[in-house]
Amino acid sequence: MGDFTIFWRLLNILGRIARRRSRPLRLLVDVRETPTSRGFHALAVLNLIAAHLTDVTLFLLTTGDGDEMSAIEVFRADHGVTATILTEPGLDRLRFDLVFAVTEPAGAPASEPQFARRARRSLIGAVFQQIPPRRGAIVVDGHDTAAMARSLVRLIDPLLIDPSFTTRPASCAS
Amino acid sequence: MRILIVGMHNSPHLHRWIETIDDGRATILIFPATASQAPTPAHYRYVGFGDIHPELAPGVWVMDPLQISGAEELASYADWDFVRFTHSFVQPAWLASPFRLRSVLLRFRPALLHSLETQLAGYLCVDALQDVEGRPPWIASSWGSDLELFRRFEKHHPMLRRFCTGIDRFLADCARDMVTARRFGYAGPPVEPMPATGGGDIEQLAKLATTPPSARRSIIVKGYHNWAGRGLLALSALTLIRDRLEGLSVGVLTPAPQVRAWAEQMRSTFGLDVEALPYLPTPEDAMARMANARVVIGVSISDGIPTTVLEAMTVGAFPVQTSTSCLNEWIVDGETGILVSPHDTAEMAEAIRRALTDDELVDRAAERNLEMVRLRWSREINRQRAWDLYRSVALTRD
Repeated sequence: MGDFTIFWRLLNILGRIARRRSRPLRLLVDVRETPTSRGFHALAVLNLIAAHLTDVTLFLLTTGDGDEMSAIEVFRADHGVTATILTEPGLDRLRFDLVFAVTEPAGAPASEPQFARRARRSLIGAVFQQIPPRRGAIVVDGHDTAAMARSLVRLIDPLLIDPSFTTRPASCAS
Repeated sequence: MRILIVGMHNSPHLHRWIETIDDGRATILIFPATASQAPTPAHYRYVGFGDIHPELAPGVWVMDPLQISGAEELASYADWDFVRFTHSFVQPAWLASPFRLRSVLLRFRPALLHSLETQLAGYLCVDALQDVEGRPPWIASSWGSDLELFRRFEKHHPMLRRFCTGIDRFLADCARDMVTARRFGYAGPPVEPMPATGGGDIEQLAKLATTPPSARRSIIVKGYHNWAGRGLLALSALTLIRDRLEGLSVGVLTPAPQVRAWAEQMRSTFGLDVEALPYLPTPEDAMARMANARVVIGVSISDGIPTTVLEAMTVGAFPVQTSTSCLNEWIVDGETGILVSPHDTAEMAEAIRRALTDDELVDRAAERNLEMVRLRWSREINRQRAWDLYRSVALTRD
């Protein structure tokens, strides 16, 4: 009887792993460009890793501001990536696998954005101040978009050995 | 010749274009695309709608910006949101009405119409010229991001098609834009691109450069952070090489409020000599400041050929610019400037580091860049080219 229970438990765990792998990763990115959130930095990172977003369900958190919406529109047009646009009230009932934000912490002690806890894992780029790390959260230099891109790609696909980044945009519309 | 210019009458780019074409003999009437009350050069004369007629004396005239529309005339613009995208700084109530522009066309009877910039001035002309019989030839200048950015916004595609199929000559500031204009239906002959500002007095400006770039100790950063500008990413790049900035000053040109705040933060957190540059009242003072810079950095997700870069090239400041501009049509990447991704601050940092440490690179680039602007940004040469273009299309009228 005991062997049978262990067998079913193992089967259950393997089933859950298989289901998780078959479901696209749900990634929330904070693209709000505000005094405490540097969404244009975050969007720069997404531009760099656009090739790795094909199997990701992407959610973009915005304030709805025209400049943010333009930047999203350009990102979509350049890379053909689809994304669900959210504003903060819309986050209430949603869960994500991974959250990414570039934050300019206000006040002391500096802390990660509250919504980062809506996912098991988060990547936080911090500018000017350090944020104390916690389990499941990685904090990196928010000034370095290339470093953030490398970290984010590894969180999206831990098995990836040599991630490729989007090269410099062409200035000629040829 | 009577020329009707449609554009932002308060824009320094428009003022420089007028300076390029004003020969004292033509009558140039500016129809403001927005109702801004910002000052214009002292020699511009203002004229009310009711006083416009074909016999206006030669010189530069501006139609009273408060008379460019009646509020009820703007209904045609209310059903789409080109204002929200990128022109959030323009209140819909400030826009000119196509009906008023059409009336001015009938009163002034210009030999040609020239729109400067696309989304405000060009789109206005599209609507104004609809169903107008005997309309004058239309030359359209595109500025900076007009086509390059807006081609990515699907909502703009119908208007861009109407614009590109309606114009008689397309005068872009980048060669790449001609390709886009063709895609949207431009069928006119090719026209060699020309910077939006027309031209500058190169020899006069070049005299301001009294120190070789390798001996200069300052960096200028373009401080726009908005619908296209990414000034904060430029500052992030500098932060990444902060240990290389000792003894150097960083000045931020026309900083957005958040860029100004970061400049202060970089001073207090890292002890860097970074400051928001004060506004200087004369272009000469601004150019003298530019002539002290070793490197000029511009970061944006979309641009044309930035005037700041042309000025930098004239006085020997080495351009580090994002590849989303058309600077590639003016420099040799890695030799007379460096192009970088607008998304990669590490790449920007490496380019800046190279420009700060390679004396031979910046000194040699200064000579070659001055030659380039002499050829392509000279007011004298471009005045001739502009008038050749005007004469080739102008109607012969009384």
